[in-house]
Amino acid sequence: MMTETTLLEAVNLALHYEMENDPNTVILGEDIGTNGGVFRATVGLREKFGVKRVIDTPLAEALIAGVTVGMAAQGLRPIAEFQFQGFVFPAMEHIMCHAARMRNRTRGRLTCPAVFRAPFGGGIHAPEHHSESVEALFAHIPGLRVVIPSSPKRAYGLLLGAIRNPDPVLFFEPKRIYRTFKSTVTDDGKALPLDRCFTLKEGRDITLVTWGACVIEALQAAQILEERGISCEILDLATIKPIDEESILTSVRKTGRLLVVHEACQTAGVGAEIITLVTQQLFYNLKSPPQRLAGFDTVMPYYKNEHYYLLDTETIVTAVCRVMEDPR
Amino acid sequence: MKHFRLPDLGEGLAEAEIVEWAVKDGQKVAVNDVLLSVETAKAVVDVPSPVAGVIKACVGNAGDVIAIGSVLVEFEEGEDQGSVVGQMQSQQQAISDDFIIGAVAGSGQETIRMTPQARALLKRLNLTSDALPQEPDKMWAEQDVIAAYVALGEGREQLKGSRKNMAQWMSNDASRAIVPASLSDDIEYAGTVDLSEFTPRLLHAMALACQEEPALNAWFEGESCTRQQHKTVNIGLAVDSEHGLYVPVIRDVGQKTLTDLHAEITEIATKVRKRQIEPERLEGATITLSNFGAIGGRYATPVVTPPQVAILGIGKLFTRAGLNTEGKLVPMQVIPASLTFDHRACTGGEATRFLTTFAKQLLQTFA
Repeated sequence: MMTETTLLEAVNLALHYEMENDPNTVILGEDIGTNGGVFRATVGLREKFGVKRVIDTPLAEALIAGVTVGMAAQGLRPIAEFQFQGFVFPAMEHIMCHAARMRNRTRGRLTCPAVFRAPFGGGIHAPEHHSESVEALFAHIPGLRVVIPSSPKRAYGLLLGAIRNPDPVLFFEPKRIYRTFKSTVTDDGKALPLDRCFTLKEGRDITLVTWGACVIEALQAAQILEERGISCEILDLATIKPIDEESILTSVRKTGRLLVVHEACQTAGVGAEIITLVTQQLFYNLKSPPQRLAGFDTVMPYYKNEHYYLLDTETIVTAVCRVMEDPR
Repeated sequence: MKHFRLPDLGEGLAEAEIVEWAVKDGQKVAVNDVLLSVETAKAVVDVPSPVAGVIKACVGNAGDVIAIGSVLVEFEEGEDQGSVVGQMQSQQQAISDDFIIGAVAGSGQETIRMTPQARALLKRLNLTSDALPQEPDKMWAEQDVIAAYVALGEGREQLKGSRKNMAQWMSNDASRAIVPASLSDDIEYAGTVDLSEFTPRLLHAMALACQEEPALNAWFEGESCTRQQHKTVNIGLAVDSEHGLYVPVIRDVGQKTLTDLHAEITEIATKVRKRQIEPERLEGATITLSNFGAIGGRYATPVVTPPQVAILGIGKLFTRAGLNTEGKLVPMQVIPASLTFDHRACTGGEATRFLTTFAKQLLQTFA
């Protein structure tokens, strides 16, 4: 079945599909059952699959994560929701010390096929703790996968891939673009791979690697730059960990220039990892130093001041032009 | 939100009386628009709308007493945006959402592989990589770029040996730091100059001038602002050859006779012609002599070689009419002399006295 769906609806579609086809899937989180999720990501699931598979938890993230790890290790496929990525911190110990290590600790006898979903990123004028982008923290931990969709089709396919993966996956949904656009999603249950990035636009002059909501501004910037005679190749990283090195290197080998764009703050962000691997492997192919355009090293400002922090189209255009002019 | 209920107004009050409605059924309201005013035991309070939406029904009339939590306004069931803090944007613009999994297939294209130094050199040479021969898998270093640059120019060659040495030496940092000042003089002799042993005479006169003005027989280092004066006069003699310019050094000129000097100069000339001059022989000059007049020309502004501070250039001898000491018009033989000195290390006075002494001592050798 094909429908025009938003990213948020695509998440819901994927959850419905997998709950239907795999009786071991279980969903748990705050307000996800009766309320259908504060963003409506889990709407309709309680009615269809009942209280035993769609569990409203208390306001306790450590409990959510701990129960998820226990369920996953014992044969269920739990999909946990943290209402906002900013609330994940009480759950870190269960994720870092247990979910990530289940396979290693048991030498493969047990794994932890859990998905930890959370809306992330800024842009909805919310108060503190509602605008985090901390994907780099999870990317640093061995044993975890980190996936970030940026469109309805990719959200659908990547979430199915995440649920079916035998190891823990952090699935961060860019809330700012939950409902801003829709595309035709085929509800065929086909998963997308969790070790590939996606080429959204082919180009000659420079490779832009980005993920999450920034993909939208990057595509808009590419259109403006095309009119100025600069041809950008845009890669949606999608799987933050493990990084699809091969595809990124193929692209930069062709263009000789790289700009990484991410909303998360700059220091120790995932941009540094991508720039390092490109510099190490393609130093002599580069026409200019690889650059990153990232958030300031501060907390996301509140409410309307967010627009001073978020990367807009014009900022990306300027950054690309600077890379193209280098060396003077 | 479907139903808006009377919120807790605080101060332990459990109910309020509707005073006046500010909106009516069917009206569209924005967040914080005043819906109605209510009166509690204490005051009249405006009640703002917590959401944007269209009012389906206002519940209650002016004068009604309502309890906290009672429905006040029923909103039209708009799109269910969820119940989250903040403001979600919801344009739902249609997009194509096309993508390729992984990198664009079959490109196999690769930019030219060059060290950063080679790239920078390429740019300074005003070339682009398009001008270079296509050699896949080649890793270009600076020397490769230079070789390609040579190939691109008809008759272009890379300098070697003493020509290369001259080009690099003349433009290095120490050379560029020199502050040159020039002084020239016509050394007049009312008689015939004995051209045999001419160069030894020049050397001899220079050595005596150095003794008089030792400031011109020193080494100067600009950054440390230090000066090293020398006890002996070691004159570098510029020798032209088909292989380029050589400046072998004749050491301790002050202690050598004209005959010694003549023999040494002959030896040097032979060795330079045969390219057998020893490298040590080319080092350690404290001052330089360029007898370019042997080829031609009168006056020059010769170039000081650091760390030296002076160079003397002698032009071609010529004859003109002049007045002798008795005031009679006689043919005068003129030896044009040009002195360049580094004004960081020598004063004009020192340079002038040096040149004057040189002229006097040179004329004495003819006597």
